[in-house]
Amino acid sequence: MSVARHQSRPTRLVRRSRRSAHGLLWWAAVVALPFAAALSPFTAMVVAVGLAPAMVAWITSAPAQRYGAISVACMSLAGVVPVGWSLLEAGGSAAVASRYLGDPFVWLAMYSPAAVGWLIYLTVPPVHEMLFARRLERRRRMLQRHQKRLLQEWGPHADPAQGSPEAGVPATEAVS
Amino acid sequence: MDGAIGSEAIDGIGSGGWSEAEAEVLLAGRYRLLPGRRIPSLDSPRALAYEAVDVEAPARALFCLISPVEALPRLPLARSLSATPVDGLLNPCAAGYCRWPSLGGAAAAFLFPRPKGSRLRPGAAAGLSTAELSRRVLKPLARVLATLEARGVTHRAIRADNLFWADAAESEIVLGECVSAAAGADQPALYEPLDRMTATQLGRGEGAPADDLYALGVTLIDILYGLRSGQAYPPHLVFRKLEHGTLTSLLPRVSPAPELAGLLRGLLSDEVRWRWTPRHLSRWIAGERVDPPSPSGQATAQRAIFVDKARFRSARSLAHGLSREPELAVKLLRDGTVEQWLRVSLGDARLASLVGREVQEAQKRPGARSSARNILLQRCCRLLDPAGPVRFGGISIMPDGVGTALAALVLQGHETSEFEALLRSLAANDLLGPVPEQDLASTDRFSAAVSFLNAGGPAGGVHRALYELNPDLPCMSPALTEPMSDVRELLEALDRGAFDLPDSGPLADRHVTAFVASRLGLHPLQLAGVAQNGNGQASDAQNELRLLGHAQAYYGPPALRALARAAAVRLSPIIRSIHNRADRKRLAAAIAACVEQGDLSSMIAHVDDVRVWERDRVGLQRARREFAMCSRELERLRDAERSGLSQAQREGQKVATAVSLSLALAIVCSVLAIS
Repeated sequence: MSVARHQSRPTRLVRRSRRSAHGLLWWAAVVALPFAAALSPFTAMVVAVGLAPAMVAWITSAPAQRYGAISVACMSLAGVVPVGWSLLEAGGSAAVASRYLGDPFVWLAMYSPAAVGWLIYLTVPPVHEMLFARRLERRRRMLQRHQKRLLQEWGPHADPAQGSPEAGVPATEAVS
Repeated sequence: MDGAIGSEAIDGIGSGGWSEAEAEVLLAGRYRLLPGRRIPSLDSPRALAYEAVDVEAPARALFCLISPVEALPRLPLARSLSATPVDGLLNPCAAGYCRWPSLGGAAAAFLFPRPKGSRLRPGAAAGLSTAELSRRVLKPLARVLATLEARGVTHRAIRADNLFWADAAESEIVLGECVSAAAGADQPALYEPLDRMTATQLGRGEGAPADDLYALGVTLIDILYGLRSGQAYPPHLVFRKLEHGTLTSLLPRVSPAPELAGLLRGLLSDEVRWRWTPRHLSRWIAGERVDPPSPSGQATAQRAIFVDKARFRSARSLAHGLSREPELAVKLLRDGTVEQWLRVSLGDARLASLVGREVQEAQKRPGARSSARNILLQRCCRLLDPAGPVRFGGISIMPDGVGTALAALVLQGHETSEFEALLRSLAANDLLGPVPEQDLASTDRFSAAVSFLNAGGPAGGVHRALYELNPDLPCMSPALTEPMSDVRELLEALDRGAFDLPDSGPLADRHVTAFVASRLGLHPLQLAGVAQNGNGQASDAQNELRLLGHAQAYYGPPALRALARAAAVRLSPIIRSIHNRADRKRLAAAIAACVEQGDLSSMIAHVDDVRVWERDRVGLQRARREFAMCSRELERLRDAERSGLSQAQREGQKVATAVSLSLALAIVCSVLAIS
């Protein structure tokens, strides 16, 4: 019971890591994007458009279940960064930006990593859960096998639940 | 209790239901005892006489006495007399135990040469002159008594009806047998000295040569003047003797011849230290002048004290009277009646003070009420009659008769609790305290017996005390066909009987275990072994086996297969109590091998192997710890299973995030690097 209660409440470490993830995103949204907009407004616009799946995921996810949004955001960022870098290298002008936005491959390059992010988020937890259950089962079988061996070797009194054993006690005095 | 110890055990013997057609009994391999041919004229008080034939010399005139074991016959003395006969005594030719059909069990058989003359008739010596009496009666008897004294044994059955003429010419006397019952048990009270006469018959003790000389003195009076009225001795004579002394009581009206008077005074002195010895007697017979002791009367009061309705005038008789009415006696002691009578009527202020002090000290004595009462009574009786028997509750025995008295009680199946209390008091020196010349060796003997009594178990208890107090007593187990003195033979007999033993219950009865332990000199505490049952204590069966194993190792025989098989069955629970399956199998196999060899000592050695039990104890503890650890881990896993799946899902989400992050970083870094 105590273990379950302990596990149902997030630990201090989890809470800290969760705060740091949120801070990163806020830093990205509030500081990085305006900075990027000041540096290259059209590049920032294309990046913002490319990050739309991450924003949607962030908005639609519950505050306690932001792992999906983070996964999508990370992958979405991975899709957007090469495009933005390429745009900056190309001068970051409005014409280049509009050409980029008109190219479906650019959209595919920006949005497909977000899809991969969703894919990762949807497939990894069940696999992890399955592996966890299998590990529990293996451990339980090992323990049960050991108990069975003890019972075979020492009889039912090896189990403390059976009460005190009828044990022989050390010699007091042997007949001389 | 009186009746139990002193009862006439001859009741069980009789020829009823016995016919000549029945098989005869063979003694010592050469004497045929003929149960169908009684010789009533040669009976002893507790033994019946039968005809007997020596197979190797059929012409010898023999007879045998058959004595029930409850009479506590003196087998060792009989064997000694058989090996080294005493001239002038009816010596046994052979002695041993056998099964006697009319008794339905074991009996002691003594084979004697048939006396050529007849038994002395009452008043047979009335017409004899002093010289003739000396030559024909006293001389042979003095010879016998001197020889017995030199050997350190007593006859304790000298009485008028136990004398025979040595031949048809009645030239000389032969003293009758003294082995068919315990010492003094067959003697009428009149024949016993004052100190022993009030003890119960089987508790009179071995006594001393002085007691034989006293009996000789009474015998002389009996054959010279006659003491009987009809077939019995008058009961009032016993009380009279107690109150007024022997000579005054037995010769109230007769004045013996002057030359005999000195002899009788010497033999019948109530003071043991003044009584004649065989040497005095021999000198008197030789015609030398021997001064007889002065008449030793005892103080008697003018005014008698009443105990119930009986009147007593002397301290000794009062002691006897008080012991017969314990409840009333304690009342008289506590209310000062006895003290006042001693001081005023008897005029013995010192004795009165001693009794008064005993009564006061009794108030402070701890212990059970009945026990304190018995101790008070005995201590006061001891003051009144210092040489008298130990009087405790309903028991009245001499200190050297404790063994035979206990044997009588146990063999007759009577309750022994009061006797055990007596033994404990004797060991604690509560009873003999006031006597200055107390026998320290006896106290040690009683202490040893009590330590066995208190120990309990197969090697302890009242049976062990019985065999410790009677070192010559053979094993009297009713399960045996006859009492046995040899441990090896006893074990062989047990082995033969083990085929019929049930699968549970003791291997041997208390008589056997106590006898064997006594012969081995083992204290019950020495039987504590390693193998113990669930209560943490070795069972009686294990202790029995341990005892028998030691007996086999010491006395043999090498193989006791039936007994070993029965023992193995009884060891099954203890083998099962070994928890380790492999050790259990090993031990069972070792015990099976011991059964095969019939080796009890190896069997118990295997069971008592301390390494096996220690290994089992430590191993089981470790196994229990491991089992408990596994149980706790399993419980934890169950909890983890219940709450852990959602946790695993959350962890999976974290993993997914980490994977995404890592992948994203790898992509970004790669792109930047390419660029």
